[in-house]
Amino acid sequence: MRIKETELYGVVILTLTGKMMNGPESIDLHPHVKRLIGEGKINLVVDMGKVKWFSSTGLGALLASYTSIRNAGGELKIARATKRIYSLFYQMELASLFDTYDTVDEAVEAFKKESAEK
Amino acid sequence: MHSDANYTIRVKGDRHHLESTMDLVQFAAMEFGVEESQADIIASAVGEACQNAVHYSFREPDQVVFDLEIRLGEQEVTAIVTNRGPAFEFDAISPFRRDHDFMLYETGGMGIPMMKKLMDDATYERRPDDVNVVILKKRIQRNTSGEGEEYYED
Repeated sequence: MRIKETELYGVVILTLTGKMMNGPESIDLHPHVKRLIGEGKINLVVDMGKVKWFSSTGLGALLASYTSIRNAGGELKIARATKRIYSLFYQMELASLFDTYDTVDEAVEAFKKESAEK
Repeated sequence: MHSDANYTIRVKGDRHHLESTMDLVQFAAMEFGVEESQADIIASAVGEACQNAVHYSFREPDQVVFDLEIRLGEQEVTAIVTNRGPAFEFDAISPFRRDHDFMLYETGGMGIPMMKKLMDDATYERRPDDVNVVILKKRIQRNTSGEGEEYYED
């Protein structure tokens, strides 16, 4: 599983690629997010459109990342979760935890709207 | 529509084969008429059980081999993962809950809670011949209309 980082309108987008979000590199997600927090980047979109299977290791890393971002006063949004991943979130009672969007642009737009409302 | 079906495969523990195994379980379940969302859930839980078998063998993944049996019944799917290796803690670990401290899962440890959350029943047996047996069961809804699947919506 690889993590590709881009930025759009001050929002960091982490695109996860790899057929199976598992293995030791899945654990890299949280250290990556903590580094971003250290740089003051606390608005994060995780693009999951290319994640085929989502394992416990990946989910644990995502939840830890979510916790760290929230503790830093930021937000983590999910973009392009497949039906399979959404099913998993629902069954794990996590569907209402994450703000999910069909596209990365919609997730970024949501950040812009929330920022404008503050 | 299929009657009951059983499959038993011997799986190598490397990532490629584990992923293929999950694909196979999902495909077999759907072919049997299990709704896609349920098939995905079952395959995910089976994937965790398989990962567990590899992890607790304490060997390199490509050196691990374990058996997976899938029983597709009219009302229930059963997955049985069998591997030779050291015993591991299973019964004392609780299913995942939303109020768990998520940081506990930062570097792993969520496999068994996830299995227990996704499936209706998850049990572990330690056989006298040093074999671990994890049994996962899920009650199913078979798609009898052939008109597609239902997905959960908030």
